[in-house]
Amino acid sequence: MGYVFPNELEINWGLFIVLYPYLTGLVAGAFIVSSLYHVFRISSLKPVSRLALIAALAVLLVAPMTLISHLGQPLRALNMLWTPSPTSAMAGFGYIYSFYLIIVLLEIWFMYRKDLVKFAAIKDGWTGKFYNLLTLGAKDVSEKALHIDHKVVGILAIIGIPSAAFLHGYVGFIFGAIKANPWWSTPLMPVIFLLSAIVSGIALLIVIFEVTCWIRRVKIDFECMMAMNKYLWVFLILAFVLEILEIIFIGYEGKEEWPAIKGLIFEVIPVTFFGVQIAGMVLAFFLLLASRKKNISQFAARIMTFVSGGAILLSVLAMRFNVVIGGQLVSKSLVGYTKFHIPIWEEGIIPTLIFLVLPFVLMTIMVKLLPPWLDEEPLAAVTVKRRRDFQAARGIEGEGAAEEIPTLWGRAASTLVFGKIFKEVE
Amino acid sequence: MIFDRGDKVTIRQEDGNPSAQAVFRIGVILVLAVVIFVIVRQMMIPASFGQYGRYRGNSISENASLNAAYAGSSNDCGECHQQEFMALAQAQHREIDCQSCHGPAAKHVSKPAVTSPIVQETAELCNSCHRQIAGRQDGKIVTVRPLLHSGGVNCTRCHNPHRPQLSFEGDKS
Ligand code: HEC
Ligand code: HEC
Ligand code: HEC
Ligand code: HEC
Repeated sequence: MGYVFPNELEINWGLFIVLYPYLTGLVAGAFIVSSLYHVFRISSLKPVSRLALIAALAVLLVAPMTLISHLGQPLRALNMLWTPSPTSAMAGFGYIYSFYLIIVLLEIWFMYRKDLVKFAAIKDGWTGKFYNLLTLGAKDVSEKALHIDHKVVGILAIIGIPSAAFLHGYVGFIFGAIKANPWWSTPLMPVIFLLSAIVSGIALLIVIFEVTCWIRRVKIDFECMMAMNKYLWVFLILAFVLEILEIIFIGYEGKEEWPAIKGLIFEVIPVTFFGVQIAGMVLAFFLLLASRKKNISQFAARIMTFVSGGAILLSVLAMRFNVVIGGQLVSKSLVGYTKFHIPIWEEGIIPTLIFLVLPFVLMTIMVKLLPPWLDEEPLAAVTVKRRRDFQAARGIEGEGAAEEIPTLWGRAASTLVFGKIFKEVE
Repeated sequence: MIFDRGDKVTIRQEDGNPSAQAVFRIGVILVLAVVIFVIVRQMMIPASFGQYGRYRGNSISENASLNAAYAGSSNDCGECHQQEFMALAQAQHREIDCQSCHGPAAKHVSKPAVTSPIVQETAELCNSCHRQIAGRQDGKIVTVRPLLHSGGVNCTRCHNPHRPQLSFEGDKS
């Protein structure tokens, strides 16, 4: 279409580079939710405060995999750590990422230390040994020690907020600083990326929270859900305004690149831009608004919040696509567009889907190891036999003390078969 | 606080001043991690790094000492491959070096019998220059759409690579 230069035929930053800002964005957003509780003491978010960190860690571990797979020569990634160039924004990545990873790991460790000590004590065999190792031998769980833990978590959360903002703002910075590309080059880029990151992270938590409550068959904490609903709505407005503002600004300025950008959004990527990115945000905006009306039942409000969460997750993914791929579709000649063919294997749709599912697999494993639920009696995580012994030893008797705990799949299956979806409502 | 598992395991608050124990252990691990990183980094940085700029200085001398893979020019080939050389000299491909299509052939020139250059009889070879794509404007180089032009059939079925323009007689000498 139009005139493109010969070296623009290939889209060099493909789907993995779309995924990278998406995944780091989810991390930053999830982390901010947990910090809202730990730092700003928004207690209604307590039920998801641990889950948020576990989710953040799971996604954080997958995010660099996309970059490294994109490189094709994974080991060369290390060169950037050995000999970083001080003037390269890209080279900062390894350090920023590692720093942030350490913060998240430490915060999780301090938060779970009491549970780790407990698990190390009550589980047998290898699992017990494993938890024992995880405690690092710091088995003091006196009031005083726990108080220190709590304080450390608070401090880490405070350090974590700017780090999370930095980790993600930096991704926007890299795009924003490419002056040759009119679709990217704006100082607003880091802020836009950051806000959409927060939005997507909250949306992710809403979805995970709803789904896990359903799988675990516990009554969802409605207040917590609506708190997330509120924050999603607020940040959504900010993100939306900035994203639109940027385009209106370029349009109003009407410099030489405007026709190229207008063509891009109206002719080249209208489906992903208007159809998914903008429509998703608008839909979520109205659903969230309506869900907080007085005459809406709790059940309906939950469904609406859940759907908005899903819509936002898609919308932000589309936004990353529109930015990363869209920016490369515009020719430097400003009078032509390259085509993007989605490959199947190499940096294609299948590994992309794998990278999107992988965080949830990791999350499942981590949640098994470190149950983040605050509503559940911690012993439920222990095997039935152990629990029986434990209770016998402590002399706890009572109804359902030794009742079998159905497995996740058992629950999901019975829920499907007997149609007990959302049974706990009303 | 005590977590006891029936009779076996009992963990109690340890004596002394253990409440900052966790922070201390983590601190030690972090310091260790940084030290290990610094040591490994020192080992991984190539010796001549930064000699001239932000790259390995030795790579210059290493590359300079490599043997050239390409022979000087088409003239080097002409001595022995008269027919191709003469054909090419008069044809539209005259500006193209033999080695653009046959690959680096310095070794072949010095020892023709030992190594022979690549003979690539594929449509891909011709398409790499002649396929019509956005960004390759007609006028600089004649382009075709391979599928329409020949149905993807190997170009050398009709064109002589050394004298590509077909004459009305349709010969392929
Ligand atoms: C010293 C004489 C000599 C020079 C100079 C020479 N070649 Fe050759 N070339 C030969 C001989 C002899 C053969 C046949 C070898 C064989 O069939 O194994 C040959 C064969 C070839 C073949 C056919 C290989 C095949 O697998 O059928 C090609 C292509 C070729 N040369 C290209 C070149 C090019 C390009 C150059 C210039 C860079 C060049 N030659 C320079 C002597 C030479
Ligand atoms: C446009 C690309 C191109 C250029 C330039 C070119 N060749 Fe070739 N050459 C070919 C192809 C393709 C073949 C295979 C010929 C065929 O199948 O008819 C070939 C075949 C040959 C052969 C082997 C013929 C055979 O029957 O095995 C020789 C020798 C040769 N070329 C030498 C040269 C020399 C010498 C030059 C430079 C003067 C040269 N070529 C330039 C594409 C090229
Ligand atoms: C390295 C790039 C290159 C490769 C490879 C190449 N060509 Fe060419 N070809 C050219 C150039 C340059 C010209 C001369 C410019 C022009 O007239 O378009 C040309 C001219 C031609 C012409 C004459 C066009 C005309 O009518 O003026 C034909 C036919 C042709 N090539 C066919 C082929 C075939 C068949 C092959 C594969 C064996 C091939 N070319 C491989 C670069 C290449
Ligand atoms: C079936 C035989 C055949 C095959 C196979 C074939 N060509 Fe041609 N090609 C022709 C004929 C015939 C002409 C027209 C000759 C003329 O106009 O002088 C031609 C002309 C061309 C021209 C010049 C076009 C122009 O507008 O002047 C180019 C370039 C060319 N062919 C490239 C290729 C390439 C690349 C391939 C391989 C994908 C290929 N040809 C395969 C028969 C063939």
